Amino acid sequence: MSNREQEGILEFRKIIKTLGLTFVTLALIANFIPAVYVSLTTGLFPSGTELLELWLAAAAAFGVGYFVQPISFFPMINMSGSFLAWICGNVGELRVPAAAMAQKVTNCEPGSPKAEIMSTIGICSSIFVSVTMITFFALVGAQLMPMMPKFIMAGFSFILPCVLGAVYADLCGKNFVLGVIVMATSLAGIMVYPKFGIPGGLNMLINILVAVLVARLYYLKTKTN
Amino acid sequence: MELKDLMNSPMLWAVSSIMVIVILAQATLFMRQAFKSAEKMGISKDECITGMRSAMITSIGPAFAPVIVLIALMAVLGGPTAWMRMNDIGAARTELAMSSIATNMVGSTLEAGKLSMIGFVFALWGMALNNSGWILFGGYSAPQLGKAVDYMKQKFDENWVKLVMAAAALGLFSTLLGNAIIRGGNVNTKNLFAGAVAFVSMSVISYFFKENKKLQEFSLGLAMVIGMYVTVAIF
Repeated sequence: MSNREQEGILEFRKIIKTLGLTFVTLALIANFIPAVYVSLTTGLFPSGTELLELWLAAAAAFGVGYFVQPISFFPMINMSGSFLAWICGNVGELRVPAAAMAQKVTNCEPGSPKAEIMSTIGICSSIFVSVTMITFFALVGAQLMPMMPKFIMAGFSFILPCVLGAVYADLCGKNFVLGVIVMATSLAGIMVYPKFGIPGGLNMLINILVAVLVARLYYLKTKTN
Repeated sequence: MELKDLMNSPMLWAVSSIMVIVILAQATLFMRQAFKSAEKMGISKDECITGMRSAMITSIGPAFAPVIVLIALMAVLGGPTAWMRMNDIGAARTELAMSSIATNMVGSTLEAGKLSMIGFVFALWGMALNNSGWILFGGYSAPQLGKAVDYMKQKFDENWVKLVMAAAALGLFSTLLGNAIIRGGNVNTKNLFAGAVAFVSMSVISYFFKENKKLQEFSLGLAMVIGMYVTVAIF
């Protein structure tokens, strides 16, 4: 890594850290504004106990995700991507694919400073596209959607498996064998864990740990050969 | 004010837009900084633009997923709320689940026309509380996670760290894909087929058309569309 690259990325991280923490705070406030506004206009405020109950319901259903997801995605999107992605969401099916493609077409070495810059550019680009599309359809889409041909609409129900399947192929790239083994262990895990009473929110964490374990065996095997 | 008037009132559009403005402002400033730093690091502007273009093309397809839920959510929670919540954190499923948990708590339901005023208030608070979990942890922990990754890179063999990160990504995405294919212990054959076609298409495009730079920019979007419509054509 050249000195110029090293200096550049350190400066980038420093500026992004200040900007990022500022925007996270702003987003946290903005997140509550509509709820506060509607409560003020209607005079209907949830009580402290009710808010706690609501929060507990949310944490019970999704609390594991608050921790598991940011850690799991971090190596792929870095600090700058985390600041962006955990405010605007759709991380797995939209932000990571965009970041991965920006890196791929510019031949980035994984984990390099250039990869970090390109993933930021990729995620920002995906935000401009998704905000534009969501806004467009929020304003005129309700009238437009029913006019779409049936064949086109039918395809939309397969967006999720298709984007994830394509991303997985891209991730497999250099480690194809490892990719196939991990796919098998993860699918088996999803089928089996519930039988042991393991909550669904933990599937991701366990599958990642299993994948790392498989990688360790794979690494030791390929290293000695 | 009637609930359906409030739900789509200009003032609610205005207060809901604050989040969207924050998101756009952040993306603009981050993008500008990335371009500036790229120049200093010796990455050409052309390359940055190539990356940007490819990311934008790639995003169009997957962005239809929140768009479709948006249309459904608009009918229930009104335009401004659906618009804001599809633009911010919280997958479509999560927002639907959370608002239905919250409305049920006050004996209301999310069905269009049956939602009560207090149900709407609770849905808004429920979604805000739930989203703040990700924003708080995902956002404020980012600098610390960055340090942890740097520490790992310094402490361990570089090849091993790379492999751990690759494996973690594979574990993560195989779970996401698995969750899309297996629902409640049953395999959804159509989704399995769709995912497999997209996987094969992407592999073929990446491997056999490696030299075609223009095609690579479209590869993910293309593989996705092939998967979607081959599935529709067959099933």
